[in-house]
Amino acid sequence: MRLIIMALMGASFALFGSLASARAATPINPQADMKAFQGYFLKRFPKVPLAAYVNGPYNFSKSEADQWKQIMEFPPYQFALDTGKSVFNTKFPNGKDYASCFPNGGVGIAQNYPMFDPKTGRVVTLGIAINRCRVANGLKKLKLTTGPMADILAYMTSTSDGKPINVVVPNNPKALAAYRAGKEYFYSRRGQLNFSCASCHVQEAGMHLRGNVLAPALGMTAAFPLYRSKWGNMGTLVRRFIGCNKKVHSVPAKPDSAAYRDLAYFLTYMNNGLPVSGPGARP
Amino acid sequence: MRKTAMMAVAAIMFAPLMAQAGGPSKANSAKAIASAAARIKIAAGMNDQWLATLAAFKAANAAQAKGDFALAQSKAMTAATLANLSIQQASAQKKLWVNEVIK
Ligand code: HEC
Repeated sequence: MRLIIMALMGASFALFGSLASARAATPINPQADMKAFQGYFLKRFPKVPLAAYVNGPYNFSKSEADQWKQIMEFPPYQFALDTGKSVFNTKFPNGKDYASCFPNGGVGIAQNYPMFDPKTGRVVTLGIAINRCRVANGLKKLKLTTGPMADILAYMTSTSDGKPINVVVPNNPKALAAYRAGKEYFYSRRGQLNFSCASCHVQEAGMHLRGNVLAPALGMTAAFPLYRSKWGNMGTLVRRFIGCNKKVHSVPAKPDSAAYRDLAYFLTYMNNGLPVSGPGARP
Repeated sequence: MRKTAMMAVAAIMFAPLMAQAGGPSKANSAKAIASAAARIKIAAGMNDQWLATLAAFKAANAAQAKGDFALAQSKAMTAATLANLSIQQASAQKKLWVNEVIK
Protein backbone atom coordinates (compact mmCIF):
# COMPACT_ATOMS: atom_id res chain seq x y z
CA MET A 1 0.00 0.00 0.00
CA ARG A 2 2.68 2.46 1.00
CA LEU A 3 4.59 1.53 -2.09
CA ILE A 4 1.52 2.17 -4.26
CA ILE A 5 1.09 5.64 -2.79
CA MET A 6 4.76 6.35 -3.32
CA ALA A 7 4.54 5.16 -6.90
CA LEU A 8 1.55 7.42 -7.52
CA MET A 9 3.49 10.36 -6.08
CA GLY A 10 6.31 9.52 -8.43
CA ALA A 11 3.99 9.42 -11.40
CA SER A 12 2.59 12.82 -10.48
CA PHE A 13 6.08 14.39 -10.26
CA ALA A 14 6.78 13.07 -13.73
CA LEU A 15 3.44 14.21 -15.15
CA PHE A 16 3.78 17.78 -13.94
CA GLY A 17 7.33 17.74 -15.17
CA SER A 18 6.34 16.91 -18.72
CA LEU A 19 3.51 19.45 -18.69
CA ALA A 20 5.93 22.22 -17.89
CA SER A 21 8.63 21.07 -20.27
CA ALA A 22 7.42 23.40 -22.99
CA ARG A 23 8.77 26.39 -21.05
CA ALA A 24 11.79 27.99 -22.60
CA ALA A 25 14.97 28.55 -20.61
CA THR A 26 15.04 32.09 -19.22
CA PRO A 27 18.13 34.29 -19.53
CA ILE A 28 20.12 35.00 -16.35
CA ASN A 29 19.60 38.54 -15.09
CA PRO A 30 20.48 38.86 -11.39
CA GLN A 31 19.75 42.59 -11.26
CA ALA A 32 16.22 42.15 -12.62
CA ASP A 33 15.63 39.18 -10.30
CA MET A 34 16.64 41.26 -7.30
CA LYS A 35 14.33 44.15 -8.24
CA ALA A 36 11.42 41.74 -8.67
CA PHE A 37 12.24 39.88 -5.45
CA GLN A 38 12.40 43.01 -3.29
CA GLY A 39 9.40 44.53 -5.07
CA TYR A 40 7.32 41.44 -4.41
CA PHE A 41 7.74 41.65 -0.64
CA LEU A 42 7.42 45.43 -0.45
CA LYS A 43 4.10 45.20 -2.26
CA ARG A 44 2.86 42.26 -0.25
CA PHE A 45 3.75 43.75 3.14
CA PRO A 46 3.43 47.51 2.59
CA LYS A 47 3.88 48.26 6.30
CA VAL A 48 7.35 46.69 6.46
CA PRO A 49 10.09 49.02 5.17
CA LEU A 50 12.91 47.45 3.13
CA ALA A 51 15.60 47.73 5.82
CA ALA A 52 13.33 46.11 8.44
CA TYR A 53 13.42 42.78 6.61
CA VAL A 54 16.76 42.07 8.25
CA ASN A 55 14.76 41.49 11.43
CA GLY A 56 13.07 38.49 9.89
CA PRO A 57 10.27 37.05 12.00
CA TYR A 58 10.09 40.04 14.34
CA ASN A 59 8.12 42.05 11.78
CA PHE A 60 5.32 39.52 11.94
CA SER A 61 4.91 38.58 15.58
CA LYS A 62 4.37 41.15 18.32
CA SER A 63 5.09 38.62 21.06
CA GLU A 64 8.40 37.60 19.47
CA ALA A 65 9.31 41.24 18.90
CA ASP A 66 8.60 42.09 22.55
CA GLN A 67 10.66 39.15 23.73
CA TRP A 68 13.44 40.23 21.40
CA LYS A 69 13.59 43.76 22.83
CA GLN A 70 14.00 42.25 26.26
CA ILE A 71 16.65 39.79 25.13
CA MET A 72 18.64 42.52 23.39
CA GLU A 73 19.26 44.32 26.68
CA PHE A 74 21.89 41.62 27.20
CA PRO A 75 22.52 40.35 23.69
CA PRO A 76 23.05 36.58 23.83
CA TYR A 77 25.68 36.78 21.08
CA GLN A 78 27.90 39.12 23.09
CA PHE A 79 30.10 36.32 24.37
CA ALA A 80 30.62 34.96 20.85
CA LEU A 81 31.38 38.45 19.61
CA ASP A 82 34.04 39.05 22.27
CA THR A 83 35.57 35.61 21.77
CA GLY A 84 35.56 36.11 18.00
CA LYS A 85 37.33 39.44 18.33
CA SER A 86 40.11 38.03 20.45
CA VAL A 87 40.53 34.99 18.18
CA PHE A 88 40.60 37.27 15.15
CA ASN A 89 43.32 39.38 16.73
CA THR A 90 45.46 36.47 17.89
CA LYS A 91 48.50 35.71 15.74
CA PHE A 92 48.84 32.31 14.06
CA PRO A 93 51.85 30.18 15.10
CA ASN A 94 53.63 31.45 11.95
CA GLY A 95 53.29 35.07 13.11
CA LYS A 96 50.62 36.06 10.58
CA ASP A 97 46.97 36.67 11.38
CA TYR A 98 43.46 36.63 9.90
CA ALA A 99 43.75 40.30 8.96
CA SER A 100 46.61 39.44 6.57
CA CYS A 101 44.25 37.33 4.42
CA PHE A 102 41.60 39.98 3.76
CA PRO A 103 41.29 43.39 2.14
CA ASN A 104 41.21 46.22 4.72
CA GLY A 105 42.52 43.81 7.35
CA GLY A 106 39.16 42.01 7.35
CA VAL A 107 37.37 44.99 8.88
CA GLY A 108 34.11 46.20 7.34
CA ILE A 109 34.11 43.72 4.45
CA ALA A 110 31.38 41.21 5.38
CA GLN A 111 28.83 42.96 3.17
CA ASN A 112 30.77 41.80 0.08
CA TYR A 113 30.33 38.07 0.79
CA PRO A 114 29.61 35.55 -0.64
CA MET A 115 32.06 36.48 -3.35
CA PHE A 116 32.83 34.86 -6.67
CA ASP A 117 36.44 33.75 -6.97
CA PRO A 118 37.50 33.85 -10.63
CA LYS A 119 40.61 31.75 -9.87
CA THR A 120 38.67 28.69 -8.73
CA GLY A 121 35.44 29.55 -10.53
CA ARG A 122 33.57 29.02 -7.27
CA VAL A 123 31.60 31.03 -4.76
CA VAL A 124 33.40 31.76 -1.50
CA THR A 125 31.39 32.55 1.61
CA LEU A 126 33.06 34.50 4.40
CA GLY A 127 33.28 31.27 6.41
CA ILE A 128 35.03 29.47 3.56
CA ALA A 129 37.38 32.46 3.15
CA ILE A 130 38.26 32.21 6.84
CA ASN A 131 39.05 28.52 6.40
CA ARG A 132 41.16 29.26 3.34
CA CYS A 133 43.12 31.74 5.41
CA ARG A 134 43.69 29.12 8.09
CA VAL A 135 44.83 26.48 5.61
CA ALA A 136 47.16 28.96 3.91
CA ASN A 137 48.74 29.50 7.32
CA GLY A 138 49.12 25.86 8.23
CA LEU A 139 46.01 25.54 10.40
CA LYS A 140 43.10 23.12 10.19
CA LYS A 141 39.75 24.17 8.80
CA LEU A 142 37.04 25.03 11.30
CA LYS A 143 33.57 23.53 11.25
CA LEU A 144 31.39 25.88 9.19
CA THR A 145 28.21 25.59 11.23
CA THR A 146 28.88 26.75 14.80
CA GLY A 147 31.61 27.14 17.45
CA PRO A 148 34.77 29.18 16.81
CA MET A 149 33.79 29.79 13.17
CA ALA A 150 30.53 31.41 14.27
CA ASP A 151 32.49 33.51 16.79
CA ILE A 152 34.92 34.82 14.17
CA LEU A 153 32.05 35.47 11.76
CA ALA A 154 30.18 37.30 14.51
CA TYR A 155 33.10 39.65 15.02
CA MET A 156 33.84 40.22 11.33
CA THR A 157 30.16 40.77 10.58
CA SER A 158 29.84 43.26 13.44
CA THR A 159 32.51 45.43 11.81
CA SER A 160 30.17 45.79 8.81
CA ASP A 161 27.14 46.66 10.92
CA GLY A 162 24.72 48.80 8.93
CA LYS A 163 26.70 48.69 5.70
CA PRO A 164 24.56 47.89 2.67
CA ILE A 165 24.90 44.31 1.46
CA ASN A 166 26.83 44.42 -1.77
CA VAL A 167 27.17 41.00 -3.38
CA VAL A 168 28.50 41.09 -6.93
CA VAL A 169 27.70 38.64 -9.70
CA PRO A 170 30.33 39.50 -12.30
CA ASN A 171 29.72 38.94 -15.98
CA ASN A 172 31.58 35.65 -15.94
CA PRO A 173 29.92 32.43 -17.18
CA LYS A 174 30.86 30.51 -14.03
CA ALA A 175 29.62 33.25 -11.72
CA LEU A 176 26.34 33.45 -13.59
CA ALA A 177 26.03 29.66 -13.52
CA ALA A 178 26.63 29.63 -9.75
CA TYR A 179 24.02 32.32 -9.26
CA ARG A 180 21.56 30.41 -11.39
CA ALA A 181 22.25 27.15 -9.55
CA GLY A 182 21.54 28.91 -6.24
CA LYS A 183 18.31 30.29 -7.64
CA GLU A 184 17.26 26.86 -8.90
CA TYR A 185 18.09 25.32 -5.53
CA PHE A 186 15.97 27.91 -3.73
CA TYR A 187 12.92 27.37 -5.91
CA SER A 188 13.15 23.57 -6.36
CA ARG A 189 10.94 21.35 -4.27
CA ARG A 190 12.81 18.60 -2.54
CA GLY A 191 12.59 16.11 0.30
CA GLN A 192 9.81 13.67 1.00
CA LEU A 193 7.50 16.56 1.95
CA ASN A 194 8.02 18.12 -1.49
CA PHE A 195 8.68 21.72 -0.36
CA SER A 196 11.02 24.31 -1.79
CA CYS A 197 12.64 27.06 0.27
CA ALA A 198 10.19 29.36 -1.51
CA SER A 199 7.18 27.26 -0.42
CA CYS A 200 7.81 28.36 3.15
CA HIS A 201 9.75 31.60 2.86
CA VAL A 202 7.90 33.18 -0.08
CA GLN A 203 4.43 31.65 -0.42
CA GLU A 204 3.92 31.20 3.34
CA ALA A 205 6.08 34.13 4.51
CA GLY A 206 4.77 35.82 7.63
CA MET A 207 2.55 32.83 8.49
CA HIS A 208 2.97 30.66 11.54
CA LEU A 209 4.32 27.14 11.44
CA ARG A 210 4.19 25.19 14.70
CA GLY A 211 4.78 28.25 16.84
CA ASN A 212 7.41 29.76 14.55
CA VAL A 213 6.93 32.70 12.23
CA LEU A 214 8.13 31.92 8.73
CA ALA A 215 10.63 34.64 7.91
CA PRO A 216 10.26 36.18 4.45
CA ALA A 217 13.12 35.23 2.15
CA LEU A 218 14.00 38.91 1.80
CA GLY A 219 16.54 39.93 4.44
CA MET A 220 16.96 36.36 5.57
CA THR A 221 20.75 36.23 5.43
CA ALA A 222 21.46 39.65 6.96
CA ALA A 223 21.50 38.81 10.68
CA PHE A 224 23.80 35.76 10.51
CA PRO A 225 25.58 34.41 12.36
CA LEU A 226 22.97 34.41 15.08
CA TYR A 227 22.27 33.14 18.54
CA ARG A 228 19.19 30.98 18.52
CA SER A 229 17.56 30.12 21.82
CA LYS A 230 16.42 26.79 20.41
CA TRP A 231 20.05 25.91 19.61
CA GLY A 232 21.33 27.39 22.84
CA ASN A 233 24.35 28.75 20.96
CA MET A 234 25.51 30.47 17.79
CA GLY A 235 24.88 29.21 14.30
CA THR A 236 25.86 30.24 10.80
CA LEU A 237 23.68 30.52 7.72
CA VAL A 238 24.79 27.03 6.66
CA ARG A 239 23.53 25.63 9.96
CA ARG A 240 20.15 27.14 9.14
CA PHE A 241 20.20 25.61 5.64
CA ILE A 242 20.86 22.20 7.18
CA GLY A 243 17.97 22.59 9.64
CA CYS A 244 15.54 23.71 6.95
CA ASN A 245 16.54 20.84 4.63
CA LYS A 246 15.79 18.39 7.43
CA LYS A 247 12.39 19.97 8.03
CA VAL A 248 11.26 18.69 4.64
CA HIS A 249 12.86 15.26 5.31
CA SER A 250 15.70 15.93 2.93
CA VAL A 251 19.31 14.94 3.57
CA PRO A 252 21.29 18.19 3.98
CA ALA A 253 24.17 19.03 1.66
CA LYS A 254 27.74 19.27 2.96
CA PRO A 255 28.42 22.62 4.68
CA ASP A 256 31.05 23.59 2.08
CA SER A 257 29.18 22.09 -0.90
CA ALA A 258 28.63 23.95 -4.15
CA ALA A 259 24.88 23.66 -3.48
CA TYR A 260 25.09 25.69 -0.25
CA ARG A 261 27.66 28.16 -1.58
CA ASP A 262 25.47 28.90 -4.58
CA LEU A 263 22.32 29.08 -2.47
CA ALA A 264 23.98 31.61 -0.14
CA TYR A 265 25.18 33.56 -3.19
CA PHE A 266 21.68 33.83 -4.65
CA LEU A 267 19.92 34.55 -1.36
CA THR A 268 22.40 37.19 -0.23
CA TYR A 269 22.37 38.85 -3.65
CA MET A 270 18.59 39.23 -3.25
CA ASN A 271 19.36 41.27 -0.11
CA ASN A 272 21.62 43.77 -1.84
CA GLY A 273 21.11 47.23 -0.39
CA LEU A 274 19.75 45.97 2.94
CA PRO A 275 21.93 46.70 5.99
CA VAL A 276 24.21 44.03 7.46
CA SER A 277 22.77 43.38 10.91
CA GLY A 278 24.63 40.41 12.28
CA PRO A 279 25.27 38.96 14.68
CA GLY A 280 21.60 38.49 15.49
CA ALA A 281 19.35 36.71 17.94
CA ARG A 282 16.31 34.53 17.32
CA PRO A 283 13.91 32.56 19.49
CA MET B 1 6.23 -31.66 13.58
CA ARG B 2 3.09 -29.69 12.73
CA LYS B 3 5.26 -26.62 12.67
CA THR B 4 7.67 -28.04 10.12
CA ALA B 5 4.77 -29.23 7.99
CA MET B 6 3.29 -25.75 8.00
CA MET B 7 6.62 -24.28 7.16
CA ALA B 8 6.94 -26.67 4.27
CA VAL B 9 3.49 -25.69 2.98
CA ALA B 10 4.34 -22.06 3.37
CA ALA B 11 7.60 -22.57 1.56
CA ILE B 12 5.81 -24.20 -1.36
CA MET B 13 3.13 -21.51 -1.46
CA PHE B 14 5.55 -18.62 -1.36
CA ALA B 15 8.22 -20.18 -3.49
CA PRO B 16 7.12 -18.52 -6.74
CA LEU B 17 7.03 -15.06 -5.07
CA MET B 18 10.41 -15.54 -3.50
CA ALA B 19 11.88 -16.69 -6.76
CA GLN B 20 10.50 -13.64 -8.49
CA ALA B 21 12.08 -11.24 -6.02
CA GLY B 22 15.13 -13.44 -5.97
CA GLY B 23 14.28 -15.04 -2.55
CA PRO B 24 16.11 -14.15 0.62
CA SER B 25 19.68 -15.30 0.37
CA LYS B 26 22.88 -13.52 1.25
CA ALA B 27 23.67 -13.05 -2.42
CA ASN B 28 20.25 -11.70 -3.34
CA SER B 29 20.04 -9.24 -0.48
CA ALA B 30 23.56 -8.09 -1.30
CA LYS B 31 22.43 -7.54 -4.87
CA ALA B 32 19.42 -5.52 -3.67
CA ILE B 33 21.68 -3.45 -1.44
CA ALA B 34 24.07 -2.77 -4.31
CA SER B 35 21.28 -1.67 -6.59
CA ALA B 36 19.84 0.60 -3.87
CA ALA B 37 23.30 2.10 -3.39
CA ALA B 38 23.46 2.94 -7.09
CA ARG B 39 20.11 4.75 -6.99
CA ILE B 40 21.14 6.57 -3.81
CA LYS B 41 24.24 7.83 -5.54
CA ILE B 42 22.20 9.25 -8.40
CA ALA B 43 19.77 10.96 -5.99
CA ALA B 44 22.68 12.51 -4.10
CA GLY B 45 24.11 13.85 -7.34
CA MET B 46 20.79 15.59 -7.95
CA ASN B 47 20.83 17.23 -4.48
CA ASP B 48 17.69 15.40 -3.50
CA GLN B 49 18.16 12.57 -1.06
CA TRP B 50 15.38 11.78 1.37
CA LEU B 51 16.08 11.05 5.02
CA ALA B 52 13.85 7.96 4.80
CA THR B 53 15.94 6.58 1.95
CA LEU B 54 19.11 6.60 4.00
CA ALA B 55 17.27 5.24 7.04
CA ALA B 56 15.99 2.25 5.04
CA PHE B 57 19.41 1.74 3.50
CA LYS B 58 21.05 1.77 6.90
CA ALA B 59 18.49 -0.77 8.17
CA ALA B 60 19.19 -2.96 5.14
CA ASN B 61 22.91 -2.99 5.87
CA ALA B 62 22.34 -3.67 9.55
CA ALA B 63 20.04 -6.62 8.75
CA GLN B 64 22.57 -7.93 6.24
CA ALA B 65 25.30 -7.82 8.86
CA LYS B 66 23.07 -9.73 11.28
CA GLY B 67 22.27 -12.38 8.67
CA ASP B 68 18.58 -11.44 8.34
CA PHE B 69 18.64 -11.53 4.55
CA ALA B 70 14.86 -11.31 4.09
CA LEU B 71 14.72 -8.07 6.07
CA ALA B 72 17.87 -6.79 4.38
CA GLN B 73 16.34 -7.39 0.98
CA SER B 74 13.03 -5.73 1.79
CA LYS B 75 14.69 -2.69 3.37
CA ALA B 76 17.02 -2.38 0.39
CA MET B 77 14.06 -2.48 -1.96
CA THR B 78 12.32 0.24 0.05
CA ALA B 79 15.48 2.34 -0.09
CA ALA B 80 15.70 1.89 -3.86
CA THR B 81 12.03 2.81 -4.31
CA LEU B 82 12.41 5.95 -2.22
CA ALA B 83 15.59 6.90 -4.05
CA ASN B 84 13.79 6.44 -7.36
CA LEU B 85 11.00 8.74 -6.18
CA SER B 86 13.43 11.46 -5.19
CA ILE B 87 15.17 11.08 -8.55
CA GLN B 88 11.82 11.53 -10.28
CA GLN B 89 11.08 14.53 -8.08
CA ALA B 90 14.43 16.12 -8.89
CA SER B 91 14.05 15.44 -12.63
CA ALA B 92 10.57 16.96 -12.65
CA GLN B 93 11.81 19.98 -10.69
CA LYS B 94 14.46 20.67 -13.32
CA LYS B 95 11.57 22.05 -15.37
CA LEU B 96 9.07 22.93 -12.68
CA TRP B 97 11.12 25.21 -10.45
CA VAL B 98 10.75 28.16 -12.79
CA ASN B 99 7.02 28.22 -12.02
CA GLU B 100 7.78 29.28 -8.44
CA VAL B 101 10.16 32.10 -9.31
CA ILE B 102 9.17 35.61 -8.22
CA LYS B 103 8.81 37.68 -11.35
C1 HEC C 1 8.61 23.63 5.91
C2 HEC C 1 8.90 25.04 5.85
C3 HEC C 1 10.32 25.46 5.59
C4 HEC C 1 11.06 25.23 4.48
C5 HEC C 1 10.69 24.37 3.28
C6 HEC C 1 12.29 25.96 4.64
N1 HEC C 1 12.31 26.61 5.83
FE1 HEC C 1 13.67 27.95 6.45
N2 HEC C 1 12.65 28.23 8.18
C7 HEC C 1 11.46 27.61 8.52
C8 HEC C 1 11.06 28.02 9.85
C9 HEC C 1 9.83 27.55 10.58
C10 HEC C 1 12.02 28.95 10.29
C11 HEC C 1 11.99 29.76 11.58
C12 HEC C 1 12.43 29.23 12.80
C13 HEC C 1 12.60 27.74 12.91
O1 HEC C 1 11.64 27.02 13.20
O2 HEC C 1 13.69 27.27 12.69
C14 HEC C 1 13.02 29.04 9.21
C15 HEC C 1 14.12 29.88 9.26
C16 HEC C 1 14.99 30.08 8.21
C17 HEC C 1 16.06 31.05 8.21
C18 HEC C 1 16.38 32.04 9.33
C19 HEC C 1 15.55 33.28 9.22
C20 HEC C 1 15.71 34.21 10.36
O3 HEC C 1 15.53 35.42 10.17
O4 HEC C 1 16.00 33.77 11.47
C21 HEC C 1 16.71 30.92 7.01
C22 HEC C 1 17.91 31.72 6.53
C23 HEC C 1 16.05 29.87 6.28
N3 HEC C 1 15.01 29.39 7.03
C24 HEC C 1 16.43 29.43 5.03
C25 HEC C 1 15.79 28.41 4.33
C26 HEC C 1 16.27 27.88 3.07
C27 HEC C 1 17.46 28.38 2.30
C28 HEC C 1 15.41 26.88 2.71
C29 HEC C 1 15.50 25.94 1.53
C30 HEC C 1 16.64 25.08 1.54
C31 HEC C 1 14.38 26.81 3.75
N4 HEC C 1 14.66 27.73 4.72
C32 HEC C 1 13.30 25.95 3.72
C33 HEC C 1 10.74 26.77 7.71
C34 HEC C 1 11.12 26.33 6.46
